[in-house]
Amino acid sequence: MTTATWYLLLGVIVVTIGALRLLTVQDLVARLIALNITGAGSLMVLVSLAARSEPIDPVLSALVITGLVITAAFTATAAVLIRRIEDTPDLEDGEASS
Amino acid sequence: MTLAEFSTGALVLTPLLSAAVMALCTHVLRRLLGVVVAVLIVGFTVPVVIHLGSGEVVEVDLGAYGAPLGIVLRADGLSVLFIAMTSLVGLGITAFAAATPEATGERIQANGQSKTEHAGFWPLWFGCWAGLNAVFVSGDLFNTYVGLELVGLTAVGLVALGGQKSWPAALRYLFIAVLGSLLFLVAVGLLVSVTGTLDINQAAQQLTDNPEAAGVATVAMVLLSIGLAMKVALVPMHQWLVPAHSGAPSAVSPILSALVIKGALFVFLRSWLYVAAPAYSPALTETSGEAPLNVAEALSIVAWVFALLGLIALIVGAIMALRQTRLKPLIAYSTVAQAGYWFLLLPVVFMPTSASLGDPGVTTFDASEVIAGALAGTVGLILGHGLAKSALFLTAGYFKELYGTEKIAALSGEARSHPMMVMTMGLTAIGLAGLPFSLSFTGKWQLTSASLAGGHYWILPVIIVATLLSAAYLLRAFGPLMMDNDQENAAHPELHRNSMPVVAQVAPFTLGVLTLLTGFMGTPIFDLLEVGAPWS
Amino acid sequence: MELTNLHYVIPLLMVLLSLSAAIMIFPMREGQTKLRAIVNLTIATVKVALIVSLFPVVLGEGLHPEFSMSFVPGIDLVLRVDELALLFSTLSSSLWLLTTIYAIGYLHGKPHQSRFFGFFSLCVTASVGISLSGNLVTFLLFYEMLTLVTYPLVAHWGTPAAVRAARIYLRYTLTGGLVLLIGVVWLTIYTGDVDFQSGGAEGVTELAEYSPTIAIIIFILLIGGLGVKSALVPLHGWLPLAMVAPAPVSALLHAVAVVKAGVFGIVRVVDDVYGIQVASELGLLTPLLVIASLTIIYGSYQALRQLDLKKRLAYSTVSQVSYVVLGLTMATVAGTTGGVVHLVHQGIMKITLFFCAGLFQETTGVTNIRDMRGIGYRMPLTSLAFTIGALGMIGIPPTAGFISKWQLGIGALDSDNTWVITILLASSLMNSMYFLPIIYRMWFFYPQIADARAVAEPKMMLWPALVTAGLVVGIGAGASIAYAPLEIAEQISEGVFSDVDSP
Repeated sequence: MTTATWYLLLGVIVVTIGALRLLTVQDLVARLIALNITGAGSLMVLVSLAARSEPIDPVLSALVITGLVITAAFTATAAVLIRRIEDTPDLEDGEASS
Repeated sequence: MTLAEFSTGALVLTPLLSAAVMALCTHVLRRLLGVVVAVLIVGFTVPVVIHLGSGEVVEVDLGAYGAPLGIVLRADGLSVLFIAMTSLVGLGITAFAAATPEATGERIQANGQSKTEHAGFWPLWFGCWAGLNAVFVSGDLFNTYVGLELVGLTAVGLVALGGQKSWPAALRYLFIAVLGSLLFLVAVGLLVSVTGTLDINQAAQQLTDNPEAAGVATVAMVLLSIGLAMKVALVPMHQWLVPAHSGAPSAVSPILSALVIKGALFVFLRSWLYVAAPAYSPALTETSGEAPLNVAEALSIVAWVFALLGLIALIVGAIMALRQTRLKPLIAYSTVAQAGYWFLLLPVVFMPTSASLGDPGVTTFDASEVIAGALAGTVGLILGHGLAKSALFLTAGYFKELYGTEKIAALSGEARSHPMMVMTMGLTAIGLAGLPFSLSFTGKWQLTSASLAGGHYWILPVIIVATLLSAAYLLRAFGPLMMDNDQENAAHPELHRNSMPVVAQVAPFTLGVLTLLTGFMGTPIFDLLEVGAPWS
Repeated sequence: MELTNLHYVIPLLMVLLSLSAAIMIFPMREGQTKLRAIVNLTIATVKVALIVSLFPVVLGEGLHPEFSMSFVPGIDLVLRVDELALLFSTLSSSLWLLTTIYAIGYLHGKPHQSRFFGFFSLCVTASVGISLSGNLVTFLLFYEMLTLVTYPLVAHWGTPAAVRAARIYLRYTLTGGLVLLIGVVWLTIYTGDVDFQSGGAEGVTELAEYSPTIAIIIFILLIGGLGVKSALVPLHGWLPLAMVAPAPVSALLHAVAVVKAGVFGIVRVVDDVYGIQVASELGLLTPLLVIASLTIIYGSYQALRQLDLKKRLAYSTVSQVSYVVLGLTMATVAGTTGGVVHLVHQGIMKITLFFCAGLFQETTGVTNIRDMRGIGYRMPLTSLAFTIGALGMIGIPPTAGFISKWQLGIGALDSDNTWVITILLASSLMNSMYFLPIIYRMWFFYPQIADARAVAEPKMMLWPALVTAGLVVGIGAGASIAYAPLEIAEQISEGVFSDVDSP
């Protein structure tokens, strides 16, 4: 196995862990972090896929960069929403039960 | 650059630029600009449709780098049908929102009071529209991904306009949308690693030429299907949809239900029918090369799984809709149910075994016609749903804005004093249940006859049961509204405001009428879909 | 005479005109009674004129003006005026004109008129569409449309009983519509477009040769679906309940729209899709004949038991409409003639009776047969019209009903199933048993002194009833003149049997 394949495997594991956590945890911040981990894992998968060819695949690298930008965008949006929700006490219970 | 090419680019860039400009405008100016831009977009749709009508695909190479590196916009038959539907529905929603700014959301002012009207609606909505059009005309998977993200993030913002109560729903939607996108992104990465290209047509060609890519491609198709099905809210990934779609402001719900989920659905259809099918559907590969049989089998299992989920969605969604007491959740569950229709075609596409028909030799379908018919039917159902659902959500919004409630029991008997809305509800009920002469009926007809010709008899009972169920919940929703409540000492709900602008009635009514008029478009839709299709 | 462009457009125009009436009427305010009446009557009159203008072309020259457009690839929407279409659409357009006049009088001063007349016009649109349909798919589409647009009419009063009846009506007819749909889709898969052709569609003949079993199953599906609207026992349950509808709606439901649409569909399927020859070779006609006979007897029996006038009339429809099916399934020239002509005659007679029932109810409040003693003295003209209609139903010469029954009788004697003649006789006897007592009560009792005054009937409601009563006698007495329904029916029947090998 090449290094790239190891990273690929690692990426898959990170994605799996992140997704499982995302689906099982209730706390909003924990969910956001889980989602970020999933995102990091998938980008890792893409990087390792790119690294398997020689020279490194530029198209896949471009995908990774876009992915990073979008991850930042959704993290910011989610953080704003979470802060707003947690500022309104009666909403937190509603979220936990839904 | 021809007019059609210019218009194709403009379909994406106009709403995008206007969204940016709107962010800087005053409230009134935003509304005005919104209407102008919506009309412009409809205007740009026309030359593209006309060009496609002549049988040629529109291709625009922005920056002239060429695939696989440059940005290529490509509008084929499938694209242009989705664009046309989005333009019509978008214009209707824009008109409604401009006439009824109270329907655009709730914002909390500095003094802690909440105020109905949210100017954030305008840039978000046009950003969303730009994203949708980008998805529809994108020639490569990368832009598709970017477009999907744009749609997803703006849609989350739109849901959040509903005020405090809708924030948890918005967040939940965001988690699902992003998770779905990530799965899609990984799938795209896998496809690129075996095909070396992002371009959709080139990727399909590569998959056909390299049988050894089949294994990775199958994994990619599975990931991509799950990711997109999350965004379309296919059962059992549907739970986020109902709070998001029913909690959103009156002008936003139709955007979400009629348009936003169609973006992901479009990519789903594009991937299965334009990328995977030419390479792996036994029906299409017979002539063009050897199909790796085990892959075809693996993919057909996936296809069956999704069709089965569609079937479950049709039943579960309808049963849940029957149990609702408020209008908007009922309509939202109807979306969950209707989504089931859009996945039924997959097994038909992958196994059009017309030989099993035992036909007397008079049947007129061959395998590629079965695929074309099934797709045309499904697209008919999708477009019909877009028109009817937007009209219905706008109608629900109309009552909610007028009476401040959307409880069916509280509104009982009130619809009678709004004859135009009654007509709209009747038209949309016909459209959603798929009765003649609606576009959904035409779609069902084509889907059913193509599937039967392809040996898929199971589809007939499915469609019939689904039709009866949808008729049942629609009747349940609208029956009480039209009951005569005059003589009884029924409590009339108090008016939330004195009246609604005429436009707020005309917009849904026009969309409702369109659900019926388009019922006669079966043949043009079929012909348009043949443009640029891999089987034509 | 050549067909001009106008001739091709007329079928489409017939449908669009009715639709335009609906579009114009819906937005009108309640108070705009005059405008509504003008729109209604003008369009109804123009339609009658249009269809009459086609008489020489279709009957004289044997040409069939046709309009078609593509629905989905391989399937067209076709509107075509052949002899049967001409006969049925003339019936429906002219009775519609009369019913509109009647309804304007009936609804005078009542609420929700715009909605009523709007859906009324949509109902006409669907009916005209059904009568002009040139193939099975077009027929199916208009047939389903009819189901939907009559629902608000049945539920018009909004009372719990009306809403319940309308819901049951919808349940029956939607299910029937679905069964029909399955049959049509299935057949279309095998044969492509199923064009109505006198003597049977080509593809269907091939199918019957290739796989008789499939052809039989599809036939059962088609007739089963159509049987709901045409109220074949045991699918008739909705019809007596639907009597809660406003009187003009009941009149139309029974005479030209819903029930007739079902029967008309059966005529099309037997004669123009399968063809008499194929249908009888597949052994499909005799079972249908038996069902029709049972329906006739059962309907008459139920009618005897009813004391409510409208209910009695409703069961009488169940029975009378099956004469049409009976005539068809005898597979003789005279039988088919009798069946087809009864399609028209029954419509005219039954609409007369329903007009009168509405008049009785509106002017004196009488709905029960027991209360009808001496009503002939109080409402002589209405009672006269009712008497003529009832005598027609029994089949007394020279009414139209006599002509139908005479033809059917000849048909029965010509056919292999001579036992049918006993059904006809028994049914006529039962007809007399449930109509003669009403007539007897009307004329041979003096009214109670308390309400002996003569009552003035509303003119708008009375005249249509008198006109149709006049037609009952006129068509019966003048059955042999050119363009009379009997002559057209004979022409249709000859067309149906032109390819059939004589036994």
